[in-house]
Amino acid sequence: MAAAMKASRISGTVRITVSPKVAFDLPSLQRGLKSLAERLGHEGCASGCDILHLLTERQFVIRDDATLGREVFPSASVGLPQDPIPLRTVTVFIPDRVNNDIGLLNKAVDNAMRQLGCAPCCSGFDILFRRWMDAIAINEKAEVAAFGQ
Amino acid sequence: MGNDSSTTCLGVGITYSDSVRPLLESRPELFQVVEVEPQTTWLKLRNATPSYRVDEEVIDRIVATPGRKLVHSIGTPVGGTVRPDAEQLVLLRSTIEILQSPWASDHLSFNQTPEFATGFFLPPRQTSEGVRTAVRSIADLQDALAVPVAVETGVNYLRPRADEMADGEFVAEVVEEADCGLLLDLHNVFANALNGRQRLDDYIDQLPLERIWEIHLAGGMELDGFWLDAHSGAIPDPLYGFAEKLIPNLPNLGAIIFEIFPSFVPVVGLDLVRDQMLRLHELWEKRQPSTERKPTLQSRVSPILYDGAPPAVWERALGGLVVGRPAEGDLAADLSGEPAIRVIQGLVFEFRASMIVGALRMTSRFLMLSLGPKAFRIILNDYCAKTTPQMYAGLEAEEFGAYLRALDLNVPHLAKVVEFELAAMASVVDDKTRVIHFDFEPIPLLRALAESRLPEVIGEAGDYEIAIASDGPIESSGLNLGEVRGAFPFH
Repeated sequence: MAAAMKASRISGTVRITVSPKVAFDLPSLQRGLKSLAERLGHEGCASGCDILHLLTERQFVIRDDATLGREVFPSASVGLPQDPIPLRTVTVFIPDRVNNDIGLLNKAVDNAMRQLGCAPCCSGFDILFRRWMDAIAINEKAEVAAFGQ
Repeated sequence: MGNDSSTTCLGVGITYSDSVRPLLESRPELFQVVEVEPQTTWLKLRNATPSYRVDEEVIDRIVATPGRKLVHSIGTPVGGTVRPDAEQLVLLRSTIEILQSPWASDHLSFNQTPEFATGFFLPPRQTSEGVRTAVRSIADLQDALAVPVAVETGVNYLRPRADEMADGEFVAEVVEEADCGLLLDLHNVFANALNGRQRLDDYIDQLPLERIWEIHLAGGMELDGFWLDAHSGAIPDPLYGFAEKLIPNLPNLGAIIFEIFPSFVPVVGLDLVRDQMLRLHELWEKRQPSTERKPTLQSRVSPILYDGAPPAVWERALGGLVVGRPAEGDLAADLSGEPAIRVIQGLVFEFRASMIVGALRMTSRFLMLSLGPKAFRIILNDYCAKTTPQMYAGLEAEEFGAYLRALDLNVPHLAKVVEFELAAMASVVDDKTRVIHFDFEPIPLLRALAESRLPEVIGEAGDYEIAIASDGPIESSGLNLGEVRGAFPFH
């Protein structure tokens, strides 16, 4: 699979656009990236062949519930013939608004406020850091496999 | 609403956070009032005017919660020489109007010196000049806000000092001089008593009870020989018993609020929160609004002039020590012997570290997974020792990002993960589009970190961009379709 990821196969820049709230809300980002990777071909990696897959699919939507679908948007891109290399554009929308799951967006906004705003009044301590440090997963080789679940 | 007017009678409630929202929705009858700490709904922008952003969606959802709303500010404390920030006062007034809060409160503490934020509410200088200092700041609040103001009694982990007033005496002088209300945080006072300061009964005896408009109750925990005002769970039974006896003597009590810190809610569970609310309703029934008001106690007027170090010197000395600066001057040298200093330093560290792992989650995971928890803690300790606290998590994360850039750790692609997270954070705050360039395919790495693991493979080299924008396409451009198809004919 590594051979399928040759940079030489890419003659331009691949751009991924996400909304700030999805980018900052880790569960949303996680679901979105998982859906994207799965849709692109191989779940375990996103590679050159995945990009080919993306090209053939042409249009994707990552909904705010982090599911991926093929939907036609009026502004969906078309091929952009340019010299000297013919360029193609694939468009994936991650809409900022939620039509069918307002609770998810509310949660993303609440998360952003809690994680970026002023800490609530308290003269003790925030247990979040300790919980992060304590949440350690050990794999079958007795190695640390994950933190901060 | 001085001591002569009757308080708006609100009832029982809780401090708002998204962690208690499920209970607010499932048991609305338990909440006659929801207390809002408005700064937790603001985002702070660096080098921008206005420098705060209020998310109207959050405010709308707070408005929709059950019962009346009370505004409890945590950004304009009145116990120190740094006067309340004018920009915050404007926002505060606006929030009070939107939420129709009948009164507003802030802390009789300080969390800012002219040079730096302390990252923690610290006790004011309890002297005659300290009283005048607090009264001046309370007047700022009273002038700026369209509702009456109450001040909250603070926690004080220091030992009592010979050159300061007794805690109750100081509070009484301040509220009488300022002609304001009192938010009696019973758990703060309980913690102070357990930690060797004034006995609870003696403290209450010095207060003008008719000025108590609101009570806070909470749970705490022991740490290193101190009882912490941690807002970590159930109200201790002895404190609840004290409240039962006190409440019938508070003729103008308008609200009883249960405080729990959001991070502890998943630990203790919402059932515990529900049970505490039920207990608060039982306390509310103890009220006797018609009780004759307690006369002013002569002991509230201090015959002694407490001087010594002025408030500004006190704030620099105490504030400097808790943020880890070396003791400078006699007062700082004296305070440096306080056992509480080390404890508060630890609490400040926990707050700062929590803000960082909360805001920079993928960066934190990357550091912990790559270097191990011990190294990550060492890095955080070094960062905290070299910088002073920020009041807003977003700003703290920015500072930590700058520190990591300067540290230039040998962790491949760390700089890009930091850049991505800071850009996402900044775009949440200001809604501006930001583009991050990668010279490798970023999805495997970002996805792995979002899933709390290191990637099995790092994406191959190539030119990639992630644009963080309000709406927008994922665009992959610059691909030579013919070449790609030729390379991977089976797809």
